[in-house]
Amino acid sequence: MTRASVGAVEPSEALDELTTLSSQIQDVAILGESGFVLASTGTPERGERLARAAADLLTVAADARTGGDVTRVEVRQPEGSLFVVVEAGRTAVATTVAEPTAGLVLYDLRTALRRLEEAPKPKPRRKRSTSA
Amino acid sequence: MRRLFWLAVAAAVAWWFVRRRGGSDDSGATIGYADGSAVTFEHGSPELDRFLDVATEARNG
Repeated sequence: MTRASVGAVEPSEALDELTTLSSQIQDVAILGESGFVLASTGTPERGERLARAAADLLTVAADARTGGDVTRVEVRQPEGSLFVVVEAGRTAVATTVAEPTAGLVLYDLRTALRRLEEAPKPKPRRKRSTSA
Repeated sequence: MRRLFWLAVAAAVAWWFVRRRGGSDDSGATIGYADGSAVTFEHGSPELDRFLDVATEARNG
């Protein structure tokens, strides 16, 4: 096992840890690069709904200011907040209780994304120089 | 004494009303970017309505 893969977990495990550690997060989904649901709490329909919300929020956020990659969106409402965090091509979207500790929720979501197991990427082959 | 009682009732009603209005304005959206900058939309900005619509739909379905 390489050092880089120590601590890497599957998306479902990352969600279990996340919901166990954070009492402020209600529903959460982890999405792949193209927006498909890798894992979610609750029903699959709930996961799909969160995935649509994340895509819509990222679209609205991109429209709000041109230029710059959006890495997080937080929408605060009296009944609770909705967070979207993008990291290394993956996205975490979560609903929370009212008045959450935003920094803590963001940290937990980022940590969950970082702990996901990354598929090993093939190393590019270096061409040997043929100079004599 | 009676006047003091009604004054206290009026103050309580005013406090409840102010708290209620303050609660309804407790909405906002913050966008963070890769360069570390962030934009916040507070109550009254037209962009915020779009964020709130999406969030409400995600929460309530």
